[in-house]
Amino acid sequence: MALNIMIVDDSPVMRTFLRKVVQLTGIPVGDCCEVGDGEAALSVLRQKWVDLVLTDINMPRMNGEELVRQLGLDRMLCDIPVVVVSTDASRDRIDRMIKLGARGYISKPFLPETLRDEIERVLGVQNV
Amino acid sequence: MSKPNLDHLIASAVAEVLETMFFSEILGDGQPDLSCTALEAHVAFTGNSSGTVDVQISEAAARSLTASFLGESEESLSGLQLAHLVCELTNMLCGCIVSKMSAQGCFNLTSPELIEQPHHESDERIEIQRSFAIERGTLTVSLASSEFA
Amino acid sequence: MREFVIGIGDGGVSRDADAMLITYALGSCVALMLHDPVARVAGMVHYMLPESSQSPADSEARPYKFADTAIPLLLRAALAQGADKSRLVVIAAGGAQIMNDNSIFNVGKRNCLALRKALWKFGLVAHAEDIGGTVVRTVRMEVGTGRVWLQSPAGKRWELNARKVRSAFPGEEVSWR
Repeated sequence: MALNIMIVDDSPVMRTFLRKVVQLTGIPVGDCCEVGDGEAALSVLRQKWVDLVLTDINMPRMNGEELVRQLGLDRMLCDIPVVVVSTDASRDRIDRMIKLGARGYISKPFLPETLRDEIERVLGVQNV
Repeated sequence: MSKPNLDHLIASAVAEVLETMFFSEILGDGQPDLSCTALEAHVAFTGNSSGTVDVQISEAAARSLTASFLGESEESLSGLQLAHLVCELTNMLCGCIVSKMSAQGCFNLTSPELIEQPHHESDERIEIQRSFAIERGTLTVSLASSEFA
Repeated sequence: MREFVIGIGDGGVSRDADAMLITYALGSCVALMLHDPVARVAGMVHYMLPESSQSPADSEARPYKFADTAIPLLLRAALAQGADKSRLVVIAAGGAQIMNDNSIFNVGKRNCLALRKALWKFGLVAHAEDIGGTVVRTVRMEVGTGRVWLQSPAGKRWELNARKVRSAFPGEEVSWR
C-alpha cells in the first residue's frame, strides 16, 4: 500500500534532498507533497491523508515546533508520525520536540542513510 | 571562547557539513573570493548567544556542491538552485557552529538571505573569519557573536 | 566454487550463481559491490582514484580506475545483465589511510567521498560498508547469495552484513566456502 509523505522545509534544495532520501527507503510512495512552512503544512494536512511528516524547525510564518504542537492538539492529526530534520542539535530542543509528540529527530548535517533508517524505524518497515 | 578555539570550531563545522552532505572536503586554507560572481548568504541566530554567520563561496564551487547535493550534473543547474543551495549551506553551517558553541540550549535561526551585492570592505563587526580552499574555489565563513563582546 | 579475481583498477559483473568474486589488497582503493538477490546478478569494481578529470586519456582506457567513471559503468553493466536498481544491495569496502601515504590529499578518504557522491547521483547509498581505518582488506563476494566476507593481512575474517552500516571491528571468524 502506497504511503503519502509530506516534506516541510523552507529550503527548496533541502526538500529535493529529503525527497531523494524517502526514495532510498523503498517505501511505496503515493503522494510526496512539499510545503515551505508549518502553516501551509497544517492547511494541507486538514484536507488530505498523510502517513508521515518530515519537518524542519526554523521556518517563517509557523516553525516546526509550533506545527508539531498544533498536530498534537488536533485529534484528527495527532497520530500522524513526525520526524524532525533540523540544524538544532541541542538536547533542550530534542527533548522538547519528543515531548510534543515527534517520533524521530535527525540533526543536520546527516548522512542520507541515517535519515533513511530513522524513517524506516518510525514507520516500522525495513528495505533490506 | 578563545579565538584559536573558535577557529577550530568553524573548521570542524565546515568539514563536517561538507563531508556529510556534500561528499566534499576542505583542501586547505584559502583566501576570500573577491570576484563579482561569488555568492554570499547571511543568517542570524538567537538563543543562549546571539550573532550572525555569513558564508561566501566561489560560483564554481557553489555549482559543484549543488550538483553533489542534488545528485545532478553541473550543466543542468539553474542560478536559482545555486542561490538556494548557498542559503541552505549557510543555514547548516550556522546551525552546526552554534550547536558546537553550546550543546545544551536550543537556538533559533532567521531564514537565510542571499546578499545581492557582496561587500569586500573590512567589517568591524566580524569577529572571526576563516577561508577554506575547497573543490573549484573558496569558502569563507564569518562569525560575529554577542559572546565576544 | 569458481573464483574470479577483480584486479586493481578493474571491474566486472557475473550471473554465475556458483562463482565468487574476489579482489585483493584494498588499501586506499575502494571495492564497490552490487547484488540483485532476485536476478542473482553480482558486480564488483576495485577503483583506485576519485576523479577521472585529472587523466582523461587514462580514464578512457581504464574506466574502472576512477570512481566517477567506474561506478556508473558497473551500475549499467549490472542493469544490462538483468539487475533491477530498486532491488540492488550496495556494499563497499576499502578507502584506508595507508601509513606511507604522506600526501596532503588523503586518497583513501577522497575515494570514500567519491563513492558516496557517485552512488547518490543514482539515488543510492551503501547498505553496508567497511571503510576507512588503516587496515588493508581482501574482499570476497558470492554471486549467488550476495554474501560478502572481508579479511585482514593478519588473517582475521568477518562477514559484512547489509544493514550493518559500519563494521568497525572484525566479527566472528567465518569459514570461506
